[in-house]
Amino acid sequence: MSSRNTLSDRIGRFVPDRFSSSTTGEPGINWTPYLYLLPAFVLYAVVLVYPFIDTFILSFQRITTLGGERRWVGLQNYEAILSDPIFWRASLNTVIFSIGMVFVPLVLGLGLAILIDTGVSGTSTFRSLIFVPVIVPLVVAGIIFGWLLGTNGLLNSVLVGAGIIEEPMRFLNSTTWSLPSVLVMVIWKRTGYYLVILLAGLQGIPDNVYEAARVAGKSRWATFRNITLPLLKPAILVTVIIGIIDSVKAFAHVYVMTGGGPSHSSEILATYFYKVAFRFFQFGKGAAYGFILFAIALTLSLLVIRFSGGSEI
Amino acid sequence: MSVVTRIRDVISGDSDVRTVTRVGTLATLTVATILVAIPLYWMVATSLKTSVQIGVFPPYLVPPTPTIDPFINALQTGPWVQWFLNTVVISGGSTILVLALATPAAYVLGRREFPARKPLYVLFIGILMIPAQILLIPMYTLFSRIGLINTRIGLIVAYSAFFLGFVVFLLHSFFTNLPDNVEDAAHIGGVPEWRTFLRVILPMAKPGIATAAIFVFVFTWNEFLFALTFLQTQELYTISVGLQQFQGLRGTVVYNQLFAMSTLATLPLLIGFALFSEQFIKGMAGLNLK
Amino acid sequence: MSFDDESDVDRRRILKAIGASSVLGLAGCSGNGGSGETEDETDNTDGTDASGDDEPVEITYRDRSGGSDPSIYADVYNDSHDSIEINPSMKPVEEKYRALIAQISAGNSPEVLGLDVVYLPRFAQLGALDTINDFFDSREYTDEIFQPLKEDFINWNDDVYAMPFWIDLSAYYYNKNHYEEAGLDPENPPETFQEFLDACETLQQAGYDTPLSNTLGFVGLESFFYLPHVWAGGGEFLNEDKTECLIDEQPAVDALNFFLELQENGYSTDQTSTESFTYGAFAAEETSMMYGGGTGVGAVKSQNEELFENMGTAMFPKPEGGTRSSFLGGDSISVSSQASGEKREAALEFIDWVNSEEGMKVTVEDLGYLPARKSGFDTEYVKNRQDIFGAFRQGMEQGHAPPMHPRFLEMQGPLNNAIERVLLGNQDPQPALTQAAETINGVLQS
Repeated sequence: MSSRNTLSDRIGRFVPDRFSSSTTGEPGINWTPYLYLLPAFVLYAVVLVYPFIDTFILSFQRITTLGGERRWVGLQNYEAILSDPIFWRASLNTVIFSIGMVFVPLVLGLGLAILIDTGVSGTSTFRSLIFVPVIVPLVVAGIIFGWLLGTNGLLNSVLVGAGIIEEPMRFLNSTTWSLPSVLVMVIWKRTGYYLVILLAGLQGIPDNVYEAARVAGKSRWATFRNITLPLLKPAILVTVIIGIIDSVKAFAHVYVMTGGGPSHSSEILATYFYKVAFRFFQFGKGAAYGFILFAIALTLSLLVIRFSGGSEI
Repeated sequence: MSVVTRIRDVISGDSDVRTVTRVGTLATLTVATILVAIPLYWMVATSLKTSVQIGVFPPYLVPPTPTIDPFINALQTGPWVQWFLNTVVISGGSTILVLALATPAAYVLGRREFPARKPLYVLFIGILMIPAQILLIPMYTLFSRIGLINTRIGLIVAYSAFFLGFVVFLLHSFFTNLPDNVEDAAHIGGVPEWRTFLRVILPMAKPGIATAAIFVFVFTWNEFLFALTFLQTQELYTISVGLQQFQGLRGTVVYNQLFAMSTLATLPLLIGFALFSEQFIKGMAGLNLK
Repeated sequence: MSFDDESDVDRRRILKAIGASSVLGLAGCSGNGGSGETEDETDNTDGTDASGDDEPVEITYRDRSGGSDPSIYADVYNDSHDSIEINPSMKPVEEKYRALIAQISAGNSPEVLGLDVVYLPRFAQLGALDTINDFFDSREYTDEIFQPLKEDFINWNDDVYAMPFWIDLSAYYYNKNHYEEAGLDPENPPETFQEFLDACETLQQAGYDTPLSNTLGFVGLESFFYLPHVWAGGGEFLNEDKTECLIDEQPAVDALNFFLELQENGYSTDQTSTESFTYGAFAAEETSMMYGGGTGVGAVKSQNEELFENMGTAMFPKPEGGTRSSFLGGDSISVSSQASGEKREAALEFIDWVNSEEGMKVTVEDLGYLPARKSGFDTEYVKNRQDIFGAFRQGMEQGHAPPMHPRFLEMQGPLNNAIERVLLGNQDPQPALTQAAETINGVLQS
């Protein structure tokens, strides 16, 4: 009997050894893993599952009275959404949006990570500075860029001052430039996030791996392609999956900067969903929309996992 | 020498060009950092300008008469100290709660075989895919019945539930990457499993946990949809709810005050990040090595 | 051994806690009892005691804040009334009633709801509001309420769901000094489209490069700024039954051409902009005129006192032979359908009060909006600035409230997009409006 009274000892007195198969060595159902899962599961079940199911049911209904009656409309909500041309416009925009949210920052982050990893001085300064945008609140970032790209903003004054254009250009309220403008902000904000993940991955690769490659006479490029990249695969996979899911769900980036306009040129799935649910107050339709987004995120994630041949995740 | 050969030399690390690449690398990184810093500089610079100076075109690159008036005015628009404390409590509480629950879950899902393991894992990850907005109203009703609306605890519980999936996803990968023999050694010594978990695995997992902690803290700090809906009385508001009031009608944003407040709101996170940076990086490394 | 000591300490602590809370509880009880005895004797300032209870009835008044803060109504009311306590709950405009919807769904609706008038039909349709037909009819000032507010603004489906509250209407402001310098008559601002365009030309010649600051980029401004020009020409957004959209007809096309001319001749700031509202440039005297709402008064006053002393307002211009018009927006005030008994009574008291002399004073002088009754314009404050309030009063009489349709919110987008396409030069007015009408008809039929 230990005379110490640490937390783990007190827990130990609480949890009978009987539950630990390792000490008794008895066969039978091992309850331990489920115990470890239990608290999380309870929170999840109580807080999320009921609303989730309620919303799923709602997607087949229309609300007659707030907090009161609903009526069944079957698949009508889903049909209405899938036959809405704006939905498809938004889908296309979302594809473009996710390229800007997932792949561009990934490539940029990887490039920067490689450069930083070469060991130049000031590594942590670079790393920290490029990460700061991640911490800035999204709404504020949207406003800052909204202004930088505005008619009276920095970009226009530079372009006009340098004589490249005569008059300030429209960026955010132009049908061609609205989505790319938002993507500039998104890239600014996400690159640091991916940079940190990839850099850590890079720094985790032991130096002797590179040594061995050099001794074997491999060129830098071959080393990168055949050794570094594969070792980074888990990191890249994690970021791609989180990125894809985020780009299906993310709405504030676009909403704060352009509201989806002009004329739906920057409308993405998440912003239109938001309008349907919270501006038009079509709750049944909104629920259906939410589930369509959920299905898209799920499918894409599974595809990515399958495509990468991974049993990683 | 052709361009291609030259590039190949650089990549293959020919020693003659090593210095050039070092300078080039430094230059590129500096340029990148400057580009990233421009909007941040803009935010801080604007917070030092007067209302009149903001509307000028071409815009002032440097505040002509730097003033902290926007900061003072912004701070008077509400009980910011209280809001700051609320945000710390809520973000901190959420971080602690979600870690306490998700860590054991991720541990068994990653290192133990048991029936229904895979479906359970998918169940947890599924949370990640849900757009939180659709659950806003039913969750409000549920929390209202339990009496958790307009309480900090309520918001902590809500955030924890939402981030459960995310943290399980992150930590799962981390736990699977730990060396296999750790538990075996402990078992041989007759140590019960939960003890191994607490005394051995958890300390090894510190970097991973630190990583998850930072993410959850930052994301809950800036979250506003649920904060705005679940918190009714002004004394309970968080910083992000408070920031909303500077936005007014689209187009009547009080820029200098908004940016002043944002700078103040971001600062604690930055300091926290700087402090935890090393742990964080080690954590990310641990996540991704196979 | 140590364990027992510990538990003794714990036990003592618990007892202390129980003791303390019971003392507090008793104090609370006696406090209430005491005040109850004296309150029965209390004279109520408004002469009516809704409840006869010991304590004031507490109800919550929910509204939106953004620039002006309507919690002033609660403060002023609470100062002069003892039997009812109004608890203000303000949310920023941006959140668009998300939290309110959640509250109503959960059965926790605030008793008094100040709602943006374009949202009223939908909330009424969703059963969140109580009908108050009798209440409305029995008010002594019903006759005095401006006509457009009686036809629309407070009703849906032939029932009255609200009292008119604080009104925000649209008009244009002009800088009298600039007018004088350009040779225009500051007492006779332009009335027709053509006169307005001519005035812009004159101002430009006098060196004022951008005579007008205006924008239609934000959703809502197609209603606030554009529709009055359509109404002025006899046009309508929807037909009488609200089953068909009429925005592709001639008056609407003419109105859109007016804005297009403003844009093409460089008379106006970028009307597709979503960067800033119109007040800043006008207050900084970079432009000579601006389209704005009632809040423009306060905005200019706080940014440029001198200009405030030297500006005038006027109703929007009209096509030849038309009648000038304005858009009446703002809030109406309703009682929640979840309120009952004394809380409902209290809520009705409050929504009655907001249109009293005292209430309207708050509307005009504290918030910078407009009152629903004609007598609200008969105060000193208003009489002192006839050059500003004259046009507003006219607007209250000749203007229109928005079409009261539960899906009006979905119809604003297509119209706004059409206007934007035209102003960006991507489409001509008639086809753009026809396209908008088609989309809106689709909404009406679905």
